[in-house]
Parts: sequence; structure tokens; C-alpha cells
Amino acid sequence: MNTAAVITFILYLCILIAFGVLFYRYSETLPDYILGGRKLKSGVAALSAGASDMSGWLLLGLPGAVYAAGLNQIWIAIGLSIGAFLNWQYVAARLRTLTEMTGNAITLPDYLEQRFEDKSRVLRIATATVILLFFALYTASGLVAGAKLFESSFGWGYEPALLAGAGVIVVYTFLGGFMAVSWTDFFQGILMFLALLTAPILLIFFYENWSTLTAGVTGVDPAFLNVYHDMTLIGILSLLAWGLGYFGQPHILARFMAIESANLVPKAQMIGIGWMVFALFGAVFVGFTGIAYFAGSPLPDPEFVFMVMIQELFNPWLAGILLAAILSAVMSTVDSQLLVCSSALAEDFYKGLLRPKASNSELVWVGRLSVVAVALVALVIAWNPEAMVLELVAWAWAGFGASFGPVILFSLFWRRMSLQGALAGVITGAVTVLVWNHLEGGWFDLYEILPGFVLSSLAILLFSLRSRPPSASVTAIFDKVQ
Amino acid sequence: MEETTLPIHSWFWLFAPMIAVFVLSILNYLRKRGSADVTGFGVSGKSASETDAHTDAHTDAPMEDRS
Repeated sequence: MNTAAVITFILYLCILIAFGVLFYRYSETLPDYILGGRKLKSGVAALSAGASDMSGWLLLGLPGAVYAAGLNQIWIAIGLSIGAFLNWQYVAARLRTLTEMTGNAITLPDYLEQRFEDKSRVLRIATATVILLFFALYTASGLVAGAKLFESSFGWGYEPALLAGAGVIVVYTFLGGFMAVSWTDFFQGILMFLALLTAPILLIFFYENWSTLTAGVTGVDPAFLNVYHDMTLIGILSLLAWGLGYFGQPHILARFMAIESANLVPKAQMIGIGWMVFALFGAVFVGFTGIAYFAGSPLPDPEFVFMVMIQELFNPWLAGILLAAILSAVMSTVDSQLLVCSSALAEDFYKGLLRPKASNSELVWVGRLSVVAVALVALVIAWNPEAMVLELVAWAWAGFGASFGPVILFSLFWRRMSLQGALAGVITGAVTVLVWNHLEGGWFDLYEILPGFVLSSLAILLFSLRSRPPSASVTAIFDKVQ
Repeated sequence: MEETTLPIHSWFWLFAPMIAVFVLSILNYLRKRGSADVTGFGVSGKSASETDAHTDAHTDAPMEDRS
């Protein structure tokens, strides 16, 4: 890596830490630290939701998949766009309002407990445990991806790269909490957007005209232009089903809960979906162009198609910024997941079960120390670069989508839903994802989120209708938002 | 039979579902701008702490007072 790119990159990391320092004094209470005191503006909510959602997949995974297999990979982008749109359209404003009305709930387990008046604490413990378990693995996978990026960019060893990446994320998350994470995600979202907008424009100039580019792709394999090539109905449904995952992702739903007012949701939705559509287009285009660009010398690792193109095509200063954008994509997800884990430990376990009367200052410090503790666990998991944690991303996405998604949706829209229904939904979704993942052949090749989502929904319906109707106080809160 | 060419206008159709959700988001914003009911499901555009319905003593507590 050349000096200009290194300087740009280090400057970028310094800016991230500066965000942490800047927002340190705004984290006086636990709701400030883990939900920013619900003061997010529409632009920050939109881009931070997008950036924390997409992770390294947007700049590494998707371009790599299109580069390796062609335009048939577009189905996942379509599924994600529709899922994100529906999430903003039907979940965001309602969740924002209901979480504040149910005792100012600041985490999903907190919201579900209060929504169903669960005195047994079972729902809180079960959902917070699921969050900690899945996010520890999810965070570890992000750290592995970040370390590999550091490794290939700077030529460092894997372990120093892992420590450096995790160190920067922990510093600004530890100091500034949710506001630092959201603002760094906003900044990172802009970088990712610019990178994915700039690259296609420059690549079109490089190829001079569209025909030259498509002829180059056709020369490699005409099937790369066919969206149905090598795709079965199960394959297309599996890729589209990724969109279902949005309804249950705690780090994305936290942005909805933190937006300043439900009034800001339509504007945030427009910004967020616009960002997503252009970014996905840019990612697909980069992978597509890569097919022609590397026709003579195919890349050993398709996921590095964007990175290698950046280094070969762009000015070193611009390359440094674009490389920072790739690392941004990874960091913006890891920081959000760290903070959700921290909120589960500080709010759901420490305050919820152990020290209900703990002071603001004590809770904020428990939150901060939880960030460090979860980061250490994730580091231990990620220490072995050959660990299969990267493959767990799809599994964790399905796990959250199937176990939390239907429960959140029904809790927002169905008055008759009961505590038993909520518990049955969480357990059925999680178990279906775990079991389906180990089955093979025919319909069992379907991405586990789809059967998990359907069975979880059926369990909610069945158990709610077979249990006693919710109490008058439970339905009263629900009725207030009708 | 495999495609051998991809006219530039085909990209529009490839991305049509994504463009559609973006257009719907813009229309939704324009329609809801200034409306009290931002979700179309009767949810007030105000934050919960601003609503008259917010009578529960627990929920009345400002966020900084919760703990």
C-alpha cells in the first residue's frame, strides 16, 4: 500500500476516534448510551441503519458474488430492498411509538417484556440470551473480515490486524456509545455510498462505452448476463427471502427506536431506501465490470474484486478513501452489534435482573465495560482466521429474522397476541433455523429463514389463540396507538 | 438459450423492483409530509411522550429519569 493511501486511511481512523471523544459527554444515562436518548435525526437514522445493516457484504460479498457468478446474484439485492422498504414502511414508526409507550423500553427484550407484562422475566431472559449468543458470533465474523482487510491492505500479520481493527471500534464505542456509533455509521455510510457511486462512473469512462463492457463480459461467459442462469425456484426464493430478516435485526430496529419522532420516519425511509438502492446498484455494477476487467487474469478471491480494482484504477489518495470505505462497511456493523450486546448485558441482565435501582453513572459504566467484555469474547472467537465464523453470518441473519421478526410484527399489529404466543414464536423460529440448517436435499436446501419465519408466525397464532386473551392493561397500551 | 447481449435499457428492468421501492418511498414521504398519521395505521406523528395518551406514570418519566 502506498504512503498516500496509508495517510488517508490513518486519518479516517482518527476521525472515528474523534467521534467517540466528541460524544463522550452526551452519554450521561443508560438510555443515552445505548439509544442516544432517542434524539436521532432522519438522515443519521437512515444512513446508520443502512451502514450497520450492510456490513462488508456490500463492498466485498456482493461485488464478489456478481464477479464470480454473474447477474443471477441480483435476486438477493431485490429481496433486501423490498425487505428494508417494508421494514421502514410498517415497523419503524410504530415500533418507535410503542417502545416509548411500553415504559420507555430501550431494548427489544425490554419492549417485549413490557408489551406482554411478563412478570416471570422469561421472555426478557430468552430474547437477551439469543441476542448475546448470535451477536457474539456475528461480531466475531465482522472482526475476521476487518482483520483480513487490514492484513491485505497494510501487509500486517492477522493477529495485529485483528487487534488494531477491534481496538479502534472499541475505543469510539466505549467512549461515545450509541451517538458515536450512529454518527460514525452515518459518516461511513456516506463513504460507502460515494465509493459505490464513484467507481461505476470511472469504470464507464474506462470502458468508453457500454457495448465494449458487455462484450467483455460476454467474452468470459455469456451466461453471466442471464439472471436465471443456474438458478432454481428454491435458489431464487432463498435469495429473495433474505429480505424477511430485516424485521428481526436488533441493531437495525434500534435505529427505529432511537429516531427523534415518528414524524421523521417517512423522510428517513426515503433517504435510507435511496441510499440502499444506489449502493446496491453500484456494488452489482462493480462486480459486473470486474468480469470484463479481470478477464485475462481471474482473481483467486472474488471478494477482493472491488479492492483490487481500486488499487489499480484510482489515484492513491482516492484509493485510500475508497479502501477506508470498505473497512467502514465492516466497522459500522461490528460497532452496532457490540452496542446491542452491551445493552442486553447492562439493561436486560444487570439492571433488569440484578440491580434495578442502579444509578445512571453505574449503568453507563456497566454498558461501557460490557462493550469491552463482548469485544474480548468476539476476539477470542475470531483469533483463529480459519474459524468458520464468516459462514455464520447467513445463519445469524436467519436466526434473528425467524425468531424475532414475526414476534415484532405480530406485537405491533395484533391485539390478541399473548405472552405464550410471543415465547412460542421466538423458540419456534430459533429452533427451526437451527434444525433446518442441518438438513439437505430438495426443499431443505431452501434458506432456513423462510420456513423459520412461517413456522414462527404459525406458532404465535396458535399459542396466542389457545391461551387466555391478554389482560386489559396490555391491550390498553396497544389500543392507544390504534 | 443464453443471452449474448445486454442492452443498457435492460439494466432498468433488472433494477425495476429496487427503483419501485425508492419511488414508493419518495411518494410516501410527499404524502405524509406534515401529516399527523405517519404510518397510515393511526400512529400519531408525535413522539409518545408528546401524546395525550401518554398517561402511564412509568412512561411519563423522562428517559434520563428512568434509572
